[in-house]
Amino acid sequence: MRRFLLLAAVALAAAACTERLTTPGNCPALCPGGEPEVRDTVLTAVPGGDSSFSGYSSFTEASSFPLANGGALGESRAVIRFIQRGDSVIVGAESFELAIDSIIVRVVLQERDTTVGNLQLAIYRLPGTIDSTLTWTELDALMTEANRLRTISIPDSARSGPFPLLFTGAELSKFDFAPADSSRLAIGLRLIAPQPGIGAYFGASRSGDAAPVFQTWGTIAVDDTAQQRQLLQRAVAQNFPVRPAPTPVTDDLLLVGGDPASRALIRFALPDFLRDSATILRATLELTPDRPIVGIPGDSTRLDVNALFADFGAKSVPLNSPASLTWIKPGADTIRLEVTQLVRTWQGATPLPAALRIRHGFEWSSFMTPIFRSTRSASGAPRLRITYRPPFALEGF
Amino acid sequence: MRTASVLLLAALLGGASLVGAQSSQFGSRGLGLPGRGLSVDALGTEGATGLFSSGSSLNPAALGLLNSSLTSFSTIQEWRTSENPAGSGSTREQRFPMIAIAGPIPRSNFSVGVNYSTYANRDFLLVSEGTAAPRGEPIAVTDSVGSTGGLSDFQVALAYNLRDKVYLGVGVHLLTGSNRVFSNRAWADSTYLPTRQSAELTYLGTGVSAGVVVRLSPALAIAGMARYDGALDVERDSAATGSIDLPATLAGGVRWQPSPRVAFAGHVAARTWSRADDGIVALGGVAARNTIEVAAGLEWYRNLRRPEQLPLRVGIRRSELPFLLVQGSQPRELGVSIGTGLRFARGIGGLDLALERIRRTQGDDYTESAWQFSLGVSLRGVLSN
Repeated sequence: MRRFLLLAAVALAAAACTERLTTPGNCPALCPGGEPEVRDTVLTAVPGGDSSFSGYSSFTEASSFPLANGGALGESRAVIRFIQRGDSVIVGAESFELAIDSIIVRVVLQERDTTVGNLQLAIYRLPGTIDSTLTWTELDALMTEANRLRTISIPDSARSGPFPLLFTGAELSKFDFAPADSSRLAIGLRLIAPQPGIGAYFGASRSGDAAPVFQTWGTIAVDDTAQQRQLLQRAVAQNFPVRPAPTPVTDDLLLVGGDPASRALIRFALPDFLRDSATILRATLELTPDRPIVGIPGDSTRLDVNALFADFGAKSVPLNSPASLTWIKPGADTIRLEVTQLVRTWQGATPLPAALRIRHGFEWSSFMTPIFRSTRSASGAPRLRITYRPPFALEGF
Repeated sequence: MRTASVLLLAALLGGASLVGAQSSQFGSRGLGLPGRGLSVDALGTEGATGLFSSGSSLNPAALGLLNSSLTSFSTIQEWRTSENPAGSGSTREQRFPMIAIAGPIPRSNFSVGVNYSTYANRDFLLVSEGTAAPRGEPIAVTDSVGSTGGLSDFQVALAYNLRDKVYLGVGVHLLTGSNRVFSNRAWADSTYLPTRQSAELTYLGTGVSAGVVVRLSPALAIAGMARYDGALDVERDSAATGSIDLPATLAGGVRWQPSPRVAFAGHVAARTWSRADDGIVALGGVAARNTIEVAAGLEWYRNLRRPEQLPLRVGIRRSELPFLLVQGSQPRELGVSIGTGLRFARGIGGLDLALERIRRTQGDDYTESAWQFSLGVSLRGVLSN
């Protein structure tokens, strides 16, 4: 009896293993409910419902300094002010004056135009009182031969990497602080190239290991030889790019990025047949550049697109997720962004506003500033190409 | 013994919750592939003895043949190869098509039974590959259309034994169930999001049946059954969407045992599935047609003292299937079977086995060949002990 029960249990266990393979479908003959129909439609942005707004972020959020020497890229220089250094070191409870023997200022090249050689980086000493109200003209006046700390040649073979500048001996006098400086070192960076229109990116304070560093080495008068050698290292207190005043972009265009960093808001009117019951398979946002997008050769940047939680114009609340992005290169033609998941948030019983916000992925940190046509342009208004499946009755008989 | 039986039952029911299922392509249209309401011993003769089988739900009068309680479960494992104009594929399916509890009412000539069986099985998945060009560029797509669930037949039956000669029975049927039907499309280009549309279809209907078994002589018995099922109300996603008239069934059978070692049986059943045609077509189906089923088989008893111990059962059946896959000829099914069984624990426990070779066709385009293995587990006399 037990043997039979065991056999039965084994037989049941074996029979319960189910492999789920498939029968070939021969649609529409075998497919109940028929085959889904797929349609395509194009929506143009709501006339006047697309604009650019700025003031969302500041230069302090930059991860790079785009330095350029004019031409298509424009003039672009950078100012870095380090944290106060002081001139003494505390060992135990006692303060010792530091006898400085060397200073290192390190900047990091992140990316450069490799099609042109003989690039140079000029570093200038600037007043420690300098701040972001500094104009291009004022900075240009300060970048004199007398204020130049050093000019370094960037090897043609170098695509990126750190450039530590060591100052010793008589050069240390270039780092003497005036009382007004309060031991704050400020420097200016300028790219020099044999022809205009050349650019390079250097690390800013938000770039992690590529951030500029100011090191002061020296000795103090203590008996313990292990403590005689001291280092004062200071990070960036403030850094910002300085450019000539940009040519204003007309409100009839959509600026993304730039100086100041702008973001575009584009509204669409989703028809009822899409809003209610269609299944959106793919939605592609098409943006037409009004003018060539410039950057250094090999450059690229990112455009981020978000849906809106609430549409309050410039103060709209973006939805962090879902989001979409695309990478663009200099000279890009029509930009296409896949925004299917975003457009799907416009559907359903509680739809979100039918609007998209386009933001530069590297605000303040890129030469590439796309300027797109709007609904006020003669052509090339933002478009949304939607591929969808209308609802179909799936009774299934 | 009782503990072991309970463990066996628990293993059976536990397994039932784990398995998936996928039915024949012939179950993709209409209400699906009709169930047969047969116990495994009747499947061993390809249904030829179904009208005399107390464990089957076919004939309520057969309950009167019971002399002790019967609890039975059956499981079916099917391996099939399907072919249609889109290609061929292999599928495997596990079902539990029948649970029955029945027995005589003590100190009376009545027997009562309840059983739960498959009325129509619509558990399928069809997968096809092709291309679509939503923006003018061809993109490979994979479509899958499927359904899970089916229609079940819950029967309560009462039988009366008139002097061990004539057995009369009546049954009432509650037909209920649901299908989750879905259609999916996946794109080779990931910029297109996959789509899924689904619907839940729920069914509710009733039916009545009556049957008779007559022992004309110790060697000869005949049986008959009539059943009428009413309209099946169909709801889609909780909204009434239509109704389907279910068929009337008329069946007759004979069992002849010319010698103690062998018994022959056969039956014919006709079902008026064309009553369902209007409803099926109105709901987007193709068509429903009347069906006739003919089955013949024999049982050969090796042990005359214990004839239920490893008998040999064989049978053949030819039947029509009610729901057309495409317009044209009516689907047909041909099955041959072999089976056996044994009793153990002084006849309390029972196992029945049946192996069927089934071929289903509609014209030349849609064919299917299947091996179907059925296992029945039964307990006799447990409820009355």
